[in-house]
Amino acid sequence: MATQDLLEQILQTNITLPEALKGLADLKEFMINKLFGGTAPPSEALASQFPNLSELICNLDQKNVYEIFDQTEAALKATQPLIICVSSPLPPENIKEIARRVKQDFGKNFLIEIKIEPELIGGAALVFRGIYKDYSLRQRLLDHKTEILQILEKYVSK
Amino acid sequence: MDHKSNKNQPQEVGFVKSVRDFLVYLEGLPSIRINDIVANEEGARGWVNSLDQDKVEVLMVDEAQIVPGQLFKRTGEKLTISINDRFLGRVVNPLGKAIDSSGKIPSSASDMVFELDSLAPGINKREFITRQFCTGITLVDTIIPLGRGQRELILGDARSGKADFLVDIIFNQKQTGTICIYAAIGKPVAEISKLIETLNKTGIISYTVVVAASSADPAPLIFLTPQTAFSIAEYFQKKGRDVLIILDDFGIHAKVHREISLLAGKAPGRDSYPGDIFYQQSHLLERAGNFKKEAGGGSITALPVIEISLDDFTTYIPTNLMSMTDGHLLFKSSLYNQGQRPSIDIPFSVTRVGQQTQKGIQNFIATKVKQTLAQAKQLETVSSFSFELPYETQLILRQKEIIEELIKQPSLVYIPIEIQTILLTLPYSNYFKDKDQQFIKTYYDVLLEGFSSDPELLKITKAVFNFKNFPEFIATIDSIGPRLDQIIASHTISFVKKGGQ
Repeated sequence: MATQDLLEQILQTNITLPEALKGLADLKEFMINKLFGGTAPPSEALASQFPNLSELICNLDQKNVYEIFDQTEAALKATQPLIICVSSPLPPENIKEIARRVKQDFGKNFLIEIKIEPELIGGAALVFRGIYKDYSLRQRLLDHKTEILQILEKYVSK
Repeated sequence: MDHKSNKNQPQEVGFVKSVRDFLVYLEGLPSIRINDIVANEEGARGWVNSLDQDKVEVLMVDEAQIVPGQLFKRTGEKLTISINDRFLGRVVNPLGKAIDSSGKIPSSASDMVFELDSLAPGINKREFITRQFCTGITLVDTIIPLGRGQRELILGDARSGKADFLVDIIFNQKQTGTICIYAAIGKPVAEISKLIETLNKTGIISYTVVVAASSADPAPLIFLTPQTAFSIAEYFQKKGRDVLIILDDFGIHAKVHREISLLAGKAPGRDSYPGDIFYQQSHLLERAGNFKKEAGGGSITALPVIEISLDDFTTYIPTNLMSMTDGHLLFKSSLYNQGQRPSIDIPFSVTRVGQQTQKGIQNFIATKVKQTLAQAKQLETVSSFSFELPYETQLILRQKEIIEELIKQPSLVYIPIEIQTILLTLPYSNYFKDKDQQFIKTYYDVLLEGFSSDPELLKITKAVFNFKNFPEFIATIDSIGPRLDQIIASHTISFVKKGGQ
């Protein structure tokens, strides 16, 4: 099993980077246990995340297991998620839906990270690979600051 | 999200990965460059010091609470300073912001923008140093002369009179039209305040710029101080002006660089200083020099200062600085306590460039004085046996005492180089054959005034550098003996008449 295949599987079955790292850590613990004489069955979460677990076991052995998992972990940590800055915490279902749309539009291997920034007021800002694009309500208000102030001034003077 | 109505241009950002005091590591900022400025949402700024494969090292110049995960944006500015003539008379911080009580420095269309960390001009833009830098202090101008564009290290232990000496030099530039830049690098706030108060009281702030970062400021800001000072110096130099820059002190600059480097995890070298400590200081001092008209003309004379411990100048940083400068003046607290001001140890002080700027007679007198002092030092051991000394030995010892009295100079007194040359020639004249140290102590001011204002003596003062050789000059000095007697006699009479006041 190539590192790349494992990496892709991890990325496709997880939404955020911490989740992906945890999934990988759980899989590593199970694999090492299995390869070195353990008999514990896989947990439900692991089984649901990796439906082809038996196939994975066939491709690993005692000699390559550590190397493959270390390489995969390093590659995973180097992955840059799409950072979505929002003004207030989102319910888990919304996060899942956002992740689904991101994977559908940008690729299955995309991970997301949600940051809370109340200063945005509403809307969102996106950051990917160091590029920041602001689609928040705060930026819209700033863009139309002069017009808004003129309208408010007229209102106050009435 | 309505993408079509978004007018924003993409902006580069980075997130804080880790923080160590004033050192922040960011992730992101894909096309950032070294010396770019970044700022967080609260406006706290830092400059990019180095770029690793996966992180950006930023040194914070504003104090702020930085936490991992915080957003930093690229401001689009570089580490530069915008300078104009209104900087004269002001006190600024290393980012060019005024920190005195006179408000913001107004900007104008003619402002010049300088990068703080620029390369020194090459040899094709420089000229030989041929003009003397007049400090107005006899000991320096005649015996250990400096040239315009020279770099001379000022080193000495604590309370050896270095600060007073530097203020005297700045004060005496009133006569020469030189612009003075004083960089206070990591000094205590009280010291900086005292210096600014002195500059204001003496009126010399009008042609001075003070660049100050106190010991309470962040280390990166202190580190930038000499770079800002040189940038301001280069502004005036490119306008054809002569500039004096004082860097007080470079020992603190080295310590700050060490602190930053150790925090950044760089491998420590000798005395835990980073390996590039020599480069950091030498590439700054290389910005001094005497420049051709094509490069703006003008000159930058640099006086870096370092405080040493217990007269030991053989440690790492002082020896580094000695090798990257064109000479050094060694101050000793023992001489200061004995009343010699400036308390420069002549045998241990060196100037490698200044002598070529002196006139013939000046150079001759300097050599003669140094020879006399050296001979006297050897003969002092003999004289301690207190038997009858030969006349020549007694003469040399007396000349040495007179010279030592002549090179003592009160604070904030400017002596033109012509009068300095005459004063130091007096011990070798017939007029002084029967005079001693006490004579100088009593009549020093009278002699100064005489050579500055008396019509007969003034003729000689103005013609000092026209003399071709020393015997001719000595003969002229001998000829004014009677006039000197008259001046001293009339001073004594009026002194007695005023009741000894």
